[in-house]
Amino acid sequence: MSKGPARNEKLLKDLAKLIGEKKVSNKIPDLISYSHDYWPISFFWFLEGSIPSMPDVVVFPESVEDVVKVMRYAYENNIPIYPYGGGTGVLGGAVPEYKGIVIDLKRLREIKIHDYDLYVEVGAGTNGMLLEMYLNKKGYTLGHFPQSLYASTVGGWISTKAIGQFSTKYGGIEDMLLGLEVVVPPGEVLHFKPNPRAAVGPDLKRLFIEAEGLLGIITKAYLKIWPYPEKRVLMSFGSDSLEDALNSVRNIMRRGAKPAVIRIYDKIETKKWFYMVKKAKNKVGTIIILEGDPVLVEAEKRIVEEEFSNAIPLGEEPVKYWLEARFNVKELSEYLPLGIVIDTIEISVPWSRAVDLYNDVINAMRSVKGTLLAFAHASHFYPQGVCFYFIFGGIPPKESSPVEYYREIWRVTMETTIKHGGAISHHHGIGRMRAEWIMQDLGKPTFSLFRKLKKTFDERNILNRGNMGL
Amino acid sequence: MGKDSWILDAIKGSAFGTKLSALKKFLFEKSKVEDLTKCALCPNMCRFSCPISIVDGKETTSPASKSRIAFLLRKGYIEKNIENVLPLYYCLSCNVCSTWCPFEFSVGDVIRPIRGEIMRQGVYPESLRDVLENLRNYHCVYGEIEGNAQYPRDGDTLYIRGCLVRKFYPQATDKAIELLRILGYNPLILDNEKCCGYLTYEIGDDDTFIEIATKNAEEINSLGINTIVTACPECAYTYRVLYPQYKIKIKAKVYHITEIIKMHLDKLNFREKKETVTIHDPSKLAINLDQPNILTDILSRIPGLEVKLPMRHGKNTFECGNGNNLLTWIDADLLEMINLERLKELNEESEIIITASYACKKGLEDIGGKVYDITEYVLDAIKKD
Repeated sequence: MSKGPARNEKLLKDLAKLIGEKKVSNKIPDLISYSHDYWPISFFWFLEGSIPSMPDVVVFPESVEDVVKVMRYAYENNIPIYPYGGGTGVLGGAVPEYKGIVIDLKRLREIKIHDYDLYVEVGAGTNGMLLEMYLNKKGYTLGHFPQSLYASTVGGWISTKAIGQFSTKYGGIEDMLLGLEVVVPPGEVLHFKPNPRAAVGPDLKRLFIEAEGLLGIITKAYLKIWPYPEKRVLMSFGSDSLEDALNSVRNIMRRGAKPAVIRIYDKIETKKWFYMVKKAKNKVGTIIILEGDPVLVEAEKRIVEEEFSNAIPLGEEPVKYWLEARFNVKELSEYLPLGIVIDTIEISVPWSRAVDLYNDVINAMRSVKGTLLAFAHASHFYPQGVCFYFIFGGIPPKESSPVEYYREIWRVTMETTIKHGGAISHHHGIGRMRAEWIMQDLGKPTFSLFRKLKKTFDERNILNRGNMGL
Repeated sequence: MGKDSWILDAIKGSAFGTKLSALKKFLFEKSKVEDLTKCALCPNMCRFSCPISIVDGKETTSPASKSRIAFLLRKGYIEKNIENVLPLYYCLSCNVCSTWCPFEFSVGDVIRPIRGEIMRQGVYPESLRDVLENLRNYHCVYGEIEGNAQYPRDGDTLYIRGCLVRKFYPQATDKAIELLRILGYNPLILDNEKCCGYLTYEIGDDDTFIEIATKNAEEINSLGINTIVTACPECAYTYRVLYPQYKIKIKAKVYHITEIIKMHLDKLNFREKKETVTIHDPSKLAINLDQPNILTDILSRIPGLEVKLPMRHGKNTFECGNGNNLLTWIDADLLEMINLERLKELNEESEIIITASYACKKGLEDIGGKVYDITEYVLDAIKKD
């Protein structure tokens, strides 16, 4: 039984003096709770009672001034700090690897709608679902529905370049972002105004998208909003092959239609999501949701029907089923305790290499000893290409630990993606899990520039030290 | 194609032995993983619905984190001391989490046994010792209650006031009696009414709960009444749902007073009320007693009344935390913050709030809300000839 670590009482005292006693803690349950995010590796450890990465102190700022004070203190004393939102990252990006201070931003959750200008001003710690519910109540939507919506925060979305299920219409978080408030070392507040567009020097706010807390701590965001859609149309189709389905969607994209949701399931996953439709047997299923102004929706519907004319229409049922089940995240809960290692890996690739990359990744995953299943769906689409979301599960062979098996699957997937010139991450980011491959993906000169940039922003490397290998 | 048949295809390529063991795991063994472990391994998908988690803004008091702490405590991976156990008391048991959980768990139900197990080893918050003492000595969570109001001792319906009404709203009893009589009931009230024991259940102190419940059941069953009406949703839930779970039988039918009002709505002749109100659904009523729309169902019968729903209502209500739950005794500051958050949300719809629990009324009134219990509001709206 762990008696817990020796506590850093001086650090706690100093921080309490700066921002108040009620906003700091070094209680063991707090330190444990911030020792991980939703990286499956942390849960292999957790089930064995191992908690290797506890911070020294957790702070709960209630204002940007609190964040500034903590950052100044950390900078002066060369103490690592780690911003923390909903803890739903799946790559270890929020793990306090070098101890120090975790800054939980969840108390920064003010919401202010600017309805005439169609944007919302929102605290970085605001919960995604509460933001969407609030907007809906006022007649708007953000259009951002990552699977983590119920648990993740606005700051986390920006820091990981998150994307939602309705991205083909509304875009990723980078398309929604108008302005930002960020605290950077040694404790300066940067404010990027929410203008519709600006040509005032390089767009520096974009540096904080997918920076995973390495360059600064986001405290507030200005995001575009939309009037709540008046009309919604649900459609699904069965194509003979993945290639056929991808081609249909590629043509839809080329014609400029923007269905909110498009998901193409390979034959295995089609069985899961189209189980209630007999005609879906041996088909590649696609679900589509169109929404927005009724006139536009009607036009888009026509385009979709034309481009899927070589497939069979499979009705609304699979889409309704998906809408109902899309937030049912339970695989880790059900399978990890049984010794089944299960996870997802998302990548992106241009259309011309999509099918080859899909086949090669599935084969690579299957080639790893212990793999039981490997399948995928395409979940986000652009005129230029597609995001594949691979799902694997396996029972590690006797000679491997779960972590070794897990890392091997990741290795073959990352290497296959790099070989095809794909991006090693589409929307989960890099974290600690993908750090090994970031330089290969970006190329040495670009990664070296990133390193220099990090040094310019954070000379003492206090921000999320160790993340992305920096 | 069956719902799980895709798994057969998915694992087709695996070796026969592996395939068989995998199939067993995928299809059958997953149901054997205990609820606590499942909850602990979730990315907190009910977090947004949990008032404590949102207002406290700490990872530690988020639903899955509480299960993680409970898991570590139960496995003996961390010491069973008060610091480590305390997060398990940060739960309103509102069960809104179950509305969003893919397994339909209530985090309160998942962690309560661990809380109880450790409590029986003597590790629990000091403030709760006083409550347990009060229950043992005075049969009321608030201790001895003064007051000698004369209430009817004969009737066919037992009206149970609950500890909070007895302590803070004694006048509410007269209103309930008046309303019940209008609805055709003949209520009686026990002078020596005893607490239903809900709080001991919440603490996880099953022995005390069973002792209280057994005595209450004996006393109530000996009255020969056929109906019980409670002022408090927790009391109705305890007598109607929890007692039977512990094999303790109450012979009479148990209702919360809103259920009685709804049942007899056709008998009521309302006067016009030209005002706008909003509602606050107590979670025990909306979720545990499965009455998510009862307040709107009742209020919609009052002519002229506009009822504006708050962002969170029905089975997705935002529990104010004033019901007979643990936070009241553990962290009054956080409780007040939760109340302020709720009041702000309600006041975005209307200044006038109608609820169905005097506990909610008290909590929201204490911070400046204009709140009516449904009993008093309905009574006021009835046309007096």
